[in-house]
Amino acid sequence: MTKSQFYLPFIFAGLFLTIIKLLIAPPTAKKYTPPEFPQSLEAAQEVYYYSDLISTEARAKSPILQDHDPQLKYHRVIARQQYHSRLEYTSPIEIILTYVVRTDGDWHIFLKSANFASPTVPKETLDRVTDKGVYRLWQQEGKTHLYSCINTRGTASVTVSQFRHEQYYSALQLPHLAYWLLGQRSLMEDSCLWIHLISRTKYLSLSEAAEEIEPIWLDVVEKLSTINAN
Amino acid sequence: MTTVQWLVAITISLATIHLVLVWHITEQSDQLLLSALYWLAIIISFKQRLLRLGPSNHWIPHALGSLLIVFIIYRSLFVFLSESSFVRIFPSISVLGIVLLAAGFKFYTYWRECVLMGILALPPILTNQALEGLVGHHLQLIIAQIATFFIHYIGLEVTRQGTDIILERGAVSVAYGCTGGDILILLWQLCVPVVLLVPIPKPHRLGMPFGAIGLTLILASIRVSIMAFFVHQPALFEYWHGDAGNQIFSNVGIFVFGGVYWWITESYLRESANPIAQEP
Repeated sequence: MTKSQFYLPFIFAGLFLTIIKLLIAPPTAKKYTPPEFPQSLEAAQEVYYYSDLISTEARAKSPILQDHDPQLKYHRVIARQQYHSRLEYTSPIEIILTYVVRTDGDWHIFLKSANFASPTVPKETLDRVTDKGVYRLWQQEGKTHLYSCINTRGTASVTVSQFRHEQYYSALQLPHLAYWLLGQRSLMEDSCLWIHLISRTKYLSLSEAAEEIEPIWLDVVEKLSTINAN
Repeated sequence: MTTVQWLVAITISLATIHLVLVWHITEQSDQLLLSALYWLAIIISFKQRLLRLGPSNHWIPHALGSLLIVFIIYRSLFVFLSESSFVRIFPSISVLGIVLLAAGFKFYTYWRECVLMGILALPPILTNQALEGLVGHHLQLIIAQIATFFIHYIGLEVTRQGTDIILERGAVSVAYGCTGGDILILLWQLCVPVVLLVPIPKPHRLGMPFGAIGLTLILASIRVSIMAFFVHQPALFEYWHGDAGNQIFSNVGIFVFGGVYWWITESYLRESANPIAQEP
């Protein structure tokens, strides 16, 4: 060993100690903090109020909400909240926010976990692309549903490939890389805030429904884009 | 200890840390096996090249290489279970670090090791999506055809409609997930170290990717046949349909593929070492 390579034994010692540490104390699950949802949401000149429906009735019915296992590997729902435009539950529009971690943004899986709202995958859907990302619309049993997953950058997606595209894009941003190098963030952010809008108004087509619901969705995304940010 | 010995010891330590992380984070035995084989290939190749070329003495690349390895140590100490992306890029950063320490600015002399680590860093989801987009439907049809053939020869009444296999006890639809696309990618990944590092004849090298396709088709068809056989028993069907059942088949694929090429390489090396034995 030459004089200039005196540090090689130190590097080896560091690696050896790392092996011992990993064998004694293996990697642990990341601790996620549930987001603080606002008491009310103002969208398209209407105020939507926080509702207790989810935290009482649906919590008892939905197995996913009872699952607080931190070791759960995929699609762990850690917070959910519902909003209505009036205090009673007959309002034409309701908004359900679900914060999911360890997800790949798969709307099929999300639909299964949110089965109190819509148990089956619809045949006819409409995907709309906006400045804020993509959302998906469909009609079922007289209601129109809008779904979108808001990532840590505040961009919306619906499918796994759209979510992954955003993940890779985020991973290559310099500030994100810097946080990752310091060990403060994961390279691929795996959290998603699902926004589910339900409208009871009858529309002739999905395009017509999109014209009506999109402004509300855009406002909600604008208000909540920072809730999932790091 | 000499510089070469220290560098090899560092490489083995990095490989050990990576394998521990693969086991804890991905929990997939096929990924563990694949990573172990890649590291083995890299350690052998790295040592041979290092002994031939000798270590470099430039302090700048040494500092850069040390920095990369210190980063690996730091990040490994604070990694979370959900960080599978770190497990994927770990080998690339490690090999870049070790090559900078060994070769200095002539790091390109170790291009084989870098290529190997680059392939190990490929995200399986993306490669699988690409394969599905290219040949997914054809694979589904072929697997459905072969599986129907297998089930027929077991002695069961079976018909096929496109990718649906219909039996008296129920029916299964061959989705892309059942075609063994992940096994095929795994076997193709396995081909690369052999093609790059093992001195076997060219026809065998070229035959490897095609052998991987054949083996995958057989394994996936057997798996689909088993699922169709147990279609009326939900617990057994779910087992073979799920991750555990799939892992068995991908591990069998790795062992069979590795075994065949080990045998070919051994025979070739034996014949090369003893050319007189080849003559009549």
